[in-house]
Amino acid sequence: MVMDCNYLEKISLLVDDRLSPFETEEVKNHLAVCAQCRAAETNFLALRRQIKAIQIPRDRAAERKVLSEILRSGKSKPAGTTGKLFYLRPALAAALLIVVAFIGILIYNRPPQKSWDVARLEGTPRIAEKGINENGRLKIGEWLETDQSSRVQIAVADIGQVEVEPETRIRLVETRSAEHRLELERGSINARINAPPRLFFVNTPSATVIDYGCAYSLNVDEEGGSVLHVTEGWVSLALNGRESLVPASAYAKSRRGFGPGTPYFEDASGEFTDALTKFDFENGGATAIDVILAESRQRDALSLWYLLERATESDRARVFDRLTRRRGFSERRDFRPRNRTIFPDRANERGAHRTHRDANFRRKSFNYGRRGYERKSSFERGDLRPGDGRFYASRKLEYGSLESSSDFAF
Amino acid sequence: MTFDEEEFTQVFTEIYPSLCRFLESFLGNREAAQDIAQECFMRFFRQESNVVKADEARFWLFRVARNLALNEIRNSKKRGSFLGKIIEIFYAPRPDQAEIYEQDEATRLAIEMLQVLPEHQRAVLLLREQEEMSYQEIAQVLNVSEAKVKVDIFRARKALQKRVVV
Ligand SMILES: [Zn+2]
Repeated sequence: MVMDCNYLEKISLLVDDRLSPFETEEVKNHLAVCAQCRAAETNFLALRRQIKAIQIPRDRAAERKVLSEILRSGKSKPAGTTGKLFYLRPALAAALLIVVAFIGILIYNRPPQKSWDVARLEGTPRIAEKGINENGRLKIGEWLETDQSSRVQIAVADIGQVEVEPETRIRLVETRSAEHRLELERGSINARINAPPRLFFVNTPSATVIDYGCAYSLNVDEEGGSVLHVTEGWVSLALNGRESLVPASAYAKSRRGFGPGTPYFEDASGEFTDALTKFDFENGGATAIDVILAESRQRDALSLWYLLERATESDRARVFDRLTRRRGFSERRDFRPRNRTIFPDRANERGAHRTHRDANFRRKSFNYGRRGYERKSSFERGDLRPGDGRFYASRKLEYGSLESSSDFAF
Repeated sequence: MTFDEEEFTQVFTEIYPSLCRFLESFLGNREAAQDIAQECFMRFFRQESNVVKADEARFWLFRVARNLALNEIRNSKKRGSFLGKIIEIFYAPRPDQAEIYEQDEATRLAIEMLQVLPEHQRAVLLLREQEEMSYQEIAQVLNVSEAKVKVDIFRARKALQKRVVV
């Protein structure tokens, strides 16, 4: 058996132009003397050509049809007709039809669920203004209401349950295999969902709660503000592009006019959570940040990670410092060529894709000024990773071209 | 940010063909690929466009596409052996396959080769070579660390080394 050359992984980076000039030089020198690596480079480039050669013929008429169907289906189209679109060649369509019929008969031999089972737990809950006995059905568009002494349990299709607490008003907005959605106008629910991420949603007046496979409780007050408490898994609180991902044992609030606030762990200090509320919803600014930083523990990296983006420029440096001066913080130093951005400029490539290609997806860079060496620092933040709570953050200093970057977890 | 019809049309026109290409390469199946691509845009238009920023649309769509494609793979595995056999009868290669698929030889070979890879490596390699995304962009789309992207790309390339036509 031939041993792999130690340089092999670097050949892959070379092909992707991910090496510094120094490393590139080193690897190129090595290539001159190593046949195995030369072969690998040729091979990796050939693989690239083969993948780029994949061509799917475009059927523009069919594309236009798909587009117009989606536009016609409209944003507020009632559920029930999911608008699934097929455009198949007749022979295959016929074959598929038979297969679908087989599957339908053999497995999915049950009516499609357009309503959910509701079981009374206490008192006299009402669906569509009518009281229910032991059991009822909640149809799309219908409101379910509990008074101060009634509670019910709703079956969320076949993916979980929602317990509805007293004094709650909730509506079924949508149910289909790709999306189940409730609207919680006021009151409290406890949800337990066992499904892939982003199948179950709850709209509230100040944010949308998006399930990532979890258990949580959610309360909506008279003003439309929400409090989300996650007990298992991950949940996201989102509105208009602002999103707070909340892990188990953590809370997040939202308020009308502000959207989702900063998530925090349930055992954070009272001073800490009060300061977060001030920062998120009461323009607490730098004074609130003072308290947050003074009160934060290692675990509160969760909240600080959000503040790194949400704080003003002048506060970001100290948030970053607090975030990184803790146990478990590891620093990785990368030397990068000067004047080279991490994202290669592809502006000339294909004009049509320019907006999206240059978008630096969810990569937030922040600048702040300071005297002395660190005239300009920029901070970058990667996504939180649901599941293990790891994330990436880095600070880049503009003197020389030193970047320190870190993976954190909490 | 809410997308109006004109903006949605622009996003659709720009991204739909490449999303179909990605999905077909990933799944090796055109029907499922187109079905999922449509579902992605349907979701995007109907409820997600108000929580997705305009410049993130492409990444959002690829993320959802990959997730739905994984569901599709899992579901088709779950369908069991008996049904699997029934389906096979219809999907078994036939002489007219080429005509149904309008697939040229290079495309067929490349897609067949990619199916050898584990799903996560396949997705990473396609986003890199086909969509020309940077490691960081891929990490964001797939919700993994950049280090994992780096390793997966290398492993994918190494795994295919003997199958590549040089
Ligand atoms: Zn070598």
